[in-house]
Amino acid sequence: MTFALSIHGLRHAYGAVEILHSLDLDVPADSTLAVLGPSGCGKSTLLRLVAGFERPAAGQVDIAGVTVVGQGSWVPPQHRRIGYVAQEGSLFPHLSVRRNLEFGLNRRRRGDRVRVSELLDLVALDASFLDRYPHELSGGQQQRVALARTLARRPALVLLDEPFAALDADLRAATRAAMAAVLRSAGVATVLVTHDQGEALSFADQLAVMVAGCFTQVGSTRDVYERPADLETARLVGSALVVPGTVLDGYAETPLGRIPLRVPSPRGAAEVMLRPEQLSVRPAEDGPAIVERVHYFGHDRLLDLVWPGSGLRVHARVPGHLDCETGERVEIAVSGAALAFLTGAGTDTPRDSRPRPDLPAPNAGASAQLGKLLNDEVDPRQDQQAAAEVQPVGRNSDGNSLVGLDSGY
Amino acid sequence: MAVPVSLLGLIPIGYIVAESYALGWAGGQEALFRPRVADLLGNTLALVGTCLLGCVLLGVAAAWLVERTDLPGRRVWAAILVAPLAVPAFVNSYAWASLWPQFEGLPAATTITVLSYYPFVYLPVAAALRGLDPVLEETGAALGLGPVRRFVRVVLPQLRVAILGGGLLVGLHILAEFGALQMIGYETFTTVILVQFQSTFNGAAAVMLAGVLVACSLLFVTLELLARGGARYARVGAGAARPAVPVRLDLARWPVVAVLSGLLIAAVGVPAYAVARWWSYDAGIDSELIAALFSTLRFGLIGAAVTTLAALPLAWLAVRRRNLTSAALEQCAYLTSSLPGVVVALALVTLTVRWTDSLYQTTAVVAACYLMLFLPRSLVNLRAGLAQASPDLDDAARALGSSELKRLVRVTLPLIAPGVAGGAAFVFLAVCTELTATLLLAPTGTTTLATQFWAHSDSLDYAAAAPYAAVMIAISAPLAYLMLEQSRRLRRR
Amino acid sequence: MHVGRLLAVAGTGVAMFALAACGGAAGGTAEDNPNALVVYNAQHESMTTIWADAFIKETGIEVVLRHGKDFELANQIKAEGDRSPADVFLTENSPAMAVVENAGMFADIDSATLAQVPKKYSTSTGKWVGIAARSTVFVYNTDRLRTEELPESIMDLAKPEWQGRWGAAPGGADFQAIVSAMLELEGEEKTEAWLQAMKVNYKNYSGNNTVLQGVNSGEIDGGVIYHYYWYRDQAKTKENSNNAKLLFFTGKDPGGFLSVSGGGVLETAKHADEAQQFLKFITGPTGQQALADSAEFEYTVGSKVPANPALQPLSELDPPKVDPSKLNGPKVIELMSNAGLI
Repeated sequence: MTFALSIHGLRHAYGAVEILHSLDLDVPADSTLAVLGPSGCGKSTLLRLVAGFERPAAGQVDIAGVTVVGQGSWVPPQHRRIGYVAQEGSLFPHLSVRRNLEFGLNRRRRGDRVRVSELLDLVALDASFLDRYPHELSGGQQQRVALARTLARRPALVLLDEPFAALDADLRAATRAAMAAVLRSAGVATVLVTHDQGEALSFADQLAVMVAGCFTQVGSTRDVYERPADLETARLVGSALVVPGTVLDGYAETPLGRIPLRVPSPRGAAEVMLRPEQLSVRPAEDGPAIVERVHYFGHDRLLDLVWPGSGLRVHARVPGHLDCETGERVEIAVSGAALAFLTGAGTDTPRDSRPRPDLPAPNAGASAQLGKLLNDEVDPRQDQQAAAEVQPVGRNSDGNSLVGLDSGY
Repeated sequence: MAVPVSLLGLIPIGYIVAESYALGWAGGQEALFRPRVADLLGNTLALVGTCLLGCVLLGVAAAWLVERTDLPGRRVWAAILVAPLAVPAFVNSYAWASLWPQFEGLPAATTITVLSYYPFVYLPVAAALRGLDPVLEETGAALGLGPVRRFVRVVLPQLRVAILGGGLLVGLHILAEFGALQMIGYETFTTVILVQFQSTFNGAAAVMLAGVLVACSLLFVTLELLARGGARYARVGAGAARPAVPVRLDLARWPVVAVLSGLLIAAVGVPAYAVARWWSYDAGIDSELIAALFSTLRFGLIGAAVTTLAALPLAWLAVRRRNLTSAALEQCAYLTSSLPGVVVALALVTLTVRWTDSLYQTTAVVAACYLMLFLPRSLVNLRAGLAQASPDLDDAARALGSSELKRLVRVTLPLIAPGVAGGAAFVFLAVCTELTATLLLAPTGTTTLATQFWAHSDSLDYAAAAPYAAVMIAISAPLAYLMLEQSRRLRRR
Repeated sequence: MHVGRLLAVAGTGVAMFALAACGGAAGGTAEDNPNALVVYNAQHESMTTIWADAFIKETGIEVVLRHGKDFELANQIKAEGDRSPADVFLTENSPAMAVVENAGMFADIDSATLAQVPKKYSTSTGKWVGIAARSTVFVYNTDRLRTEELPESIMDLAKPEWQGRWGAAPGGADFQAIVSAMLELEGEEKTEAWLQAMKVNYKNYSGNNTVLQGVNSGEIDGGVIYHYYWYRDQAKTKENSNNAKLLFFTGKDPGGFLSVSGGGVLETAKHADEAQQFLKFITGPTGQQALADSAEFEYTVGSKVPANPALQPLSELDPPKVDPSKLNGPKVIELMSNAGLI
């Protein structure tokens, strides 16, 4: 099977600063891969290198079996069979929608009105849009036209550089769904770059999580979500609730009770990760946790819970109709299995220079910084800072934060 | 207060209309439909055509090389490519004519005007290129366009406004150009109007020719407005533009540097050499030069002061109270400035001789002429400055308890000061190198650097003309640098 | 930083203003100096400056000069009418004087002044006086034209064999004066025909200096200018005249026209006495000697002062007889415009 995209040992640097560290990736034809990572991790650079807008320091890139970078050759972007949709403003402002679409067609077919309206149909836009100008379209409509234009050339690979980031929140979901549908029906391999976890999970079937120029995990979206390679990856792909615990055979003892482990882990102290949807909260007079604060959102509530004895703090989301007041005692139940990451198992190497294999073992160790946080004195500012660092990634598409960041002792 | 200032600008057009009316249809026809006029029209339009072509090609190429490639020493090139602004066109012409008198006709005229005026296109195009978001070009590449087609179909349309604006400036300058063309014997409307003036004062032929000239100016302005069109060129989107990846020149690098160096040698080196060489014959800084220098500085200061003061109310209206009236008044100002200096001067001479005798041949009239010609330069800078001094700041200050005067002094003035200074500087520069109108209007006994330079070079006394040229260049150089800085600053916003 | 910059700019501005103001005060303009004699000068600036300086030295009367070309100033005086600030009008050629005289704007010249200059160099009406003279010449390139090939009359230049071989500066009053003499001597029809032929044959130059330069470089075989341009260049660097020689047309040919530079006092002069004094000075021995001693190389006309020794003496020339006040400038301009020369 020829991969639509194959990357071997791709490296890139700006001056002395290494941006990408020897990346490898294969994207099968007719699949959608999302590259998910925080801002500044290098994902956009990766895309630009694949597109050919910049030259890498080293490595090889093959598109549809053709080597476009590496082995002494470099093919400019116009000769790679790619399609590219930027974050915004990629429609030529001085041309009408029709002319923009025709841009993708070759000379003979330029005047082909049928083809042009076909393209417009593809992205579910009305023919009346043809004579409008880009500034008369909404952001979502512009992105759709941009996609149609790109598909006109029947590329082997479509590259999307955070295409929904500049859209208003209400447009985002609709546009995303529309474009995902188009790409699926066109059967074209797609690589989407995004920092939005919800977007990555809903849009793509493959996921590559990137941190500081390296892939921490590559696999199907379900796999990465349910079996993240480490805590950082876990936090990037979804909200994570982390509690300290002890791993015994097949289960972990935690302040929330005994929780079965999804993946076997060596015995010892560990950070146990749950997804917030696994928690259910019930008011109980003799419950172990007390509600410290209630954040009411209408359709649900965010509860700040505290275990008076240990001082463990946990945030939990409950349906809005659940009656819970401050000071009440509640009982927590956990459904499903958790993942355990041994504490202090990884070496304290600085993040940037640590070479990572493609698929690191699940218990490769918690990130050094978070480990430190858990072992240090609780400092509310530090708490917030760490929360702020992780928060943008952990936000789901509704824009609400679901960080289950616990505290240290 | 803004109203009389702008209406002042309509005087020259009114003058032409009135005189033509007085001449009558038959007389006008006779003066106008002569083979000579057809000749001049041909000459003028031919020069406009070739010069525009040259300036656009040169300006765009130079701007692209400096802003978009990995040309070595880009920052230096960016500054010195603007250097020709420091050399008035007639000094440029003097250099070429004195060193190679056989060089004449359309080739000479084109060379000299292109070398003098290409910065008018280069500056706005470079600024536009700097502000371009490369996303369009990258998208173009992804859509299969090679580098050349990308430039033509993606980049050029985005440069359209800059090119058109610069081109209009070039066209208007050529229509108004006298000294540079007279010296190499290339006859256009303006050169002949002055010759006619010397033969018949303000006779019929001069007026009719002036009328044709005005018509051409208005035509150019209209064409530019139409060509700019309604289509949008601005980026659609609010994000920050990523700086573009420089194009690698590789093998072409040193040939390009050689060509650019050649250009600068021709544009700046030749005048510098000529001035230095002729000055070495004479080496005198005599009292004549000092007197001319003082007069020039005086005119410059008065011109700058009057124009800036007049521009303030107009700018205020344009920025704070945008309505139809303010826009119309502004357009009047721009209209007059697009007329050649000789026409404005002619109108003023006739007006003052016939109606306002006490003003005749006074500095006041000269100042009025400068006002009409250079108001837009001041206006553009003032508007930019005022726009920055937003009313919100004013309101905030008021809420904090400052009185009207205090607010003016401590909030508004410091914010608009750069705009005021910039505008005044440009007008000063323009006045110091103005030739045609000053020739017609200066009070008896007053000489300026430009008129003295002209008197000497007209009688082929190149050596005597050299010191004047040198001083004019010395005055223009810092102001040309200012123009460069202004353009850089405006784009960075 | 802001305030500092502002202060710097303001400081420079004030300094320049002060300088300019001083300079302005020292300068001699009509605006600043209401008692000065106002001279509208179309004669060569250098020459009149010599006269003015000498006059100021001798009499202490301030003189302010307005420079321009013959017809420009003549028409300006006409347009200014009664309000003209001019006291004295000096020209290079006579037709411009005729324009002002015919408008009735000259006052009578003092008889003492008139007596200093031979009658043929002034107008018969006594309204203006000759101050200098210049001879029309045909300057030719010695390499390209042998003596046998030289034209015998200026009228020959209309012949087809002269096509593309000679040049002139028709935009200037000098050449226009020469044409006015031709008009007076040969009549309108012949002059018109000659002008039309000229349009075909000649090469256009912006001034007499450039004509001389063109002849010298071989661009053209010959040109019609006034004599003094050659002499002046010879006295300086010679670079525009070392290949050229002068031909003075003889036999009272229109080409031998001796053009008289005139000086007149305006009827409306505010400083009439000083004006008369100035003209008397110029045509008197001091003024004329200054002319002879100068590097101007024009012919003296007054007080029997001989011209610059370098020049071919006036007595050896054979110019045609022309009444200076009959020269019709406006008609000439009309004819030349119709022929497409200006």
